[in-house]
Amino acid sequence: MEPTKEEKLKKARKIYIDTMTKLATLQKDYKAVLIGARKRVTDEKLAQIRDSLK
Amino acid sequence: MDLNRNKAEPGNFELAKAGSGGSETVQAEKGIGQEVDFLQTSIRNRLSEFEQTGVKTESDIRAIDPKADFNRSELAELEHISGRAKIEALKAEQSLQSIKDQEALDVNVEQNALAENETKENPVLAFFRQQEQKVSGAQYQPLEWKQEHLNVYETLAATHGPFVEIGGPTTEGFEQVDIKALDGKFFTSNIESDIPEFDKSGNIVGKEKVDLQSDARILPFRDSSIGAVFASNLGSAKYNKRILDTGEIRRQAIAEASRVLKDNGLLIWEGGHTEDFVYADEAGFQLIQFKLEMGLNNQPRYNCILKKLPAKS
Repeated sequence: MEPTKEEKLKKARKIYIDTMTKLATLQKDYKAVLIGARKRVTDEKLAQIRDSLK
Repeated sequence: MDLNRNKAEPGNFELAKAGSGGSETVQAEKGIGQEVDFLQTSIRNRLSEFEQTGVKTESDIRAIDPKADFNRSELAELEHISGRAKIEALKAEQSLQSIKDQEALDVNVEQNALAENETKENPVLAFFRQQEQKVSGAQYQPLEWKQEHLNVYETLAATHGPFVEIGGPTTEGFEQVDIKALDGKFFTSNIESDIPEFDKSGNIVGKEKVDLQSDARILPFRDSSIGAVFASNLGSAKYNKRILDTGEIRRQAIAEASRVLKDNGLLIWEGGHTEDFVYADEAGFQLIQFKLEMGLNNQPRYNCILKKLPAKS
């Protein structure tokens, strides 16, 4: 049986919401990698400074 | 840089209600294609967040965040996330497109079916429209009930039972019919108790009494008790268009005539409209004969004799 207009619309909205949710999660992951990298660099530089002060 | 910023917040289509059953029907009426277009655009805009911050080389990363100093594993992870985002967006785009294509196909099928139905005219109506085309543009001819081909006398002589004129009495029409040929009583029926009497020029010259004050749609007769019913210009009464000038009333009057007529009883219909034949067909009449003329303003007018067919057992 062919889906009704309402069913098609519901399906389209579910695809949209699922996709937007996944993209939002991926953006958070992306940001976490950037923050992590910055933290690592900062930590490494701090370690270098500490070493130079020894 | 704020990677969580969302450029295309869906506000127009109340997406927060998606799946709750709140506004689906209304939106479906607006057009699925239109809304799916909006959803696709929103997803593309979201993806562009990744494309604008695309991770291709280390220098790209530095352009985004000069303070960052990424190692290879971090770069690979950023590329991986960016790639996954593209894949997710592409998958959604394709799924939404298939919904849109299916809807366009369904709408097309629906429209074709509607168009096909419209062209399938009622066969009764189609027949008379064809007749009208043959005489379209002909000069106006006053109605004459004594037309030989109408054969009113012979047809009436073969009927048995009372004769009723609805919407009468008229100054033309049945008065020219020799009612002595009838073997039953004669009644005039009108929704008014006193109706104007017109002269040949259409001027009111007095009032005429009717035998029965009744609506043509609710006649005061038992089922299958009348031999013949006559009506003249029921759809276009000279002085009471407010009440009678509608097809629905003619349809009901024809159905009522069918109710009161005996089997094989006659409905003599003067000044009928094309649609009246469809109503007569619905009410179980058989057309015995008709005369068509194009009246004033090239409007078709029919004189016809219809016979009530016995109900199928």
